[in-house]
Amino acid sequence: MTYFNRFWLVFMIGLAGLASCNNDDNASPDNGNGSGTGTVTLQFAHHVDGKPLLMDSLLYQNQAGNKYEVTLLEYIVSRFQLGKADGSSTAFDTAVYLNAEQPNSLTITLSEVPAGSYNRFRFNHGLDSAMNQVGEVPTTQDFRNMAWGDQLPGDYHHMRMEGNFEGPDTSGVFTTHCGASEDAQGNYSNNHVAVSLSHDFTVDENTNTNIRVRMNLNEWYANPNEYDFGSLDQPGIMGNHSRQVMLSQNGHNVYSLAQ
Amino acid sequence: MRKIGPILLLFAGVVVLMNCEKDDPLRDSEPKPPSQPDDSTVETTPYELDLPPHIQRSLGDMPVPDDNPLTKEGVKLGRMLFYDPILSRDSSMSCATCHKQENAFASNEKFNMGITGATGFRNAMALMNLAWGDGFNWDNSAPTLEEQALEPVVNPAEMHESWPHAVKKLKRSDFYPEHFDNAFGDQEITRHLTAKAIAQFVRSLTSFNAKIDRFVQGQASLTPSERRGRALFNTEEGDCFHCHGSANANPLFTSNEFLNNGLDSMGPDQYNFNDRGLGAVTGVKSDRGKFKTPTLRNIELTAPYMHDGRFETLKAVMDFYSDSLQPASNVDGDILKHLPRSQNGYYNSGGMDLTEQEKQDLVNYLETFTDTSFVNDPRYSDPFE
Repeated sequence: MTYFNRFWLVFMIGLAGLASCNNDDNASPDNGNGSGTGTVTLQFAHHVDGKPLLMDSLLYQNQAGNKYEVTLLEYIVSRFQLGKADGSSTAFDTAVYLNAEQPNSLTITLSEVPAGSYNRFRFNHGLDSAMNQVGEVPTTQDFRNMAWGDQLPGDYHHMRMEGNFEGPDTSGVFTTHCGASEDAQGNYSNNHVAVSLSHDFTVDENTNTNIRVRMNLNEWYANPNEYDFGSLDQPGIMGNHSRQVMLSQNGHNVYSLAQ
Repeated sequence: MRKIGPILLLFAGVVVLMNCEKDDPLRDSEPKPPSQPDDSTVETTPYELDLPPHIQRSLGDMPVPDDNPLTKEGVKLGRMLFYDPILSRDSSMSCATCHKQENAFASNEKFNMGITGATGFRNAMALMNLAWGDGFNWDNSAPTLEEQALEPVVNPAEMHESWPHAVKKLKRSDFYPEHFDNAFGDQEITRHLTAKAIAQFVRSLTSFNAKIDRFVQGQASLTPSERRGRALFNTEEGDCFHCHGSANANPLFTSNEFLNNGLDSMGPDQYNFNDRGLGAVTGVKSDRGKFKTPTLRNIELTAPYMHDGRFETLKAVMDFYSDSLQPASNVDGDILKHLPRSQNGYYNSGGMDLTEQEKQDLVNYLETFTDTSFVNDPRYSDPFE
């Protein structure tokens, strides 16, 4: 081998070595099963039996026959869990305030989600008993304004939905305020709703996955308990244990996911 | 001509050079002249707050703007400016003329008179715990405390001064230049620095040492009447807490929202309020008649009540909420639900329908919000006395 040929051989070996190192530094993650993380963005939206929610618009009617408009819809969601088929999950033990009239509040980004395949999305509507205490939620004005009365069990509203209704028997204001309650024997009932939705999705490294969450307002008043504003929501339900339990039971059918 | 030519050329060159110097991009990147150093070179001492544990837990740290943190020097200067009549045209009136410490920095007069004899048309609001809120004045006309401090100085019905003249007086003062230097560095005194200092002092006004605070911490007991009042306050019977918070989760005792609480009657979709309140600022018709929800802390000391001072006593306020809430389309839902429906489907006046004992119980409970240490705190009093 001539000197010249040796030179080129060494050069090419070196070049190949450099190229190899370069590939290792820029390795792409395995598709769907990489060791990196991505983000999941939750986008909340509201409808009434398929009709998009328009605030202050007398467009809706619930199962009990109340025609109604919504003037306020604010609520808390918390403890997000992304579950895998093997039973493992990634949890985010945070609480977030949402308001139907504040679009920025309806998008929640979960960061550093391990890449992989998931099949379930869980969260709490409201705060479970461990979080339903001062000091466990953000110290923002939005959360302060969800304060439950000192005289009542628990520290925060899970939800405040208000509006005006007409018929079938009477008309007036409804103020569906959901939170913890106590039965006649003083037994505490937190009344949050643990939501569990089957959903196949993949999180890839350094990418975002959207999950679109839908609340059907009419389900709060329908299933399994029909809820008439005129007879059940007056003059206020905050200290009424049976109403709070009814609404909590109905809450299990309120949420769904949109594709 | 041949001799003039080079001269003209030279002249033209000089002109070009002069213009080039004005347009020199390097000028924009030059450091500030020594008379205006960066704020970061100022050595100030952080102002220490001593929040009780239950307040720290529910409210967190005091929010302060990045460009105006609380410092000992800034609060000291702001306190001086708050009490000094130098900011008024005739040097007869200061912020403290209306905002009196013994009244929790509210005014005990329905409307106050300015230096010209003109009177305002709204009751001066109490000043405490404002750092945790936003949107100031009864109508949200001041988004920040810094902006709020600018207006009374120039208001013809208040201090009726001009800011250039006020600043001139401050610069000529024997002592203000030094205090401004201590607080903000060797910067020129401006209206904005003056307002920043006042805002720092106002933010420093914290009141969290009332009987209700001691009760929450297990250090005090409530009387039977106060306990009954607490129950009314915190349930939908009296329904106070929705707007005025609760001792546990919202010890500011205000939602800081702008609401119509049913003071004046209007027909359906009518918004002909004499005082448009928030609606005058936003221009939105349905915001007319909405006003800032005030704190109930020290409410025993801040009569008269409401934006126009129409109620002289807390008893009168209880009578209003019990029996005389007025309907309007934009009345808050937690108020409206207590009004009876009329035959035409609208609302009649009405209220929570409280007994005289219940009204007294509520008043007694509200009096547990009085913090005597706040109204006697020497840190907040007149530094010139």
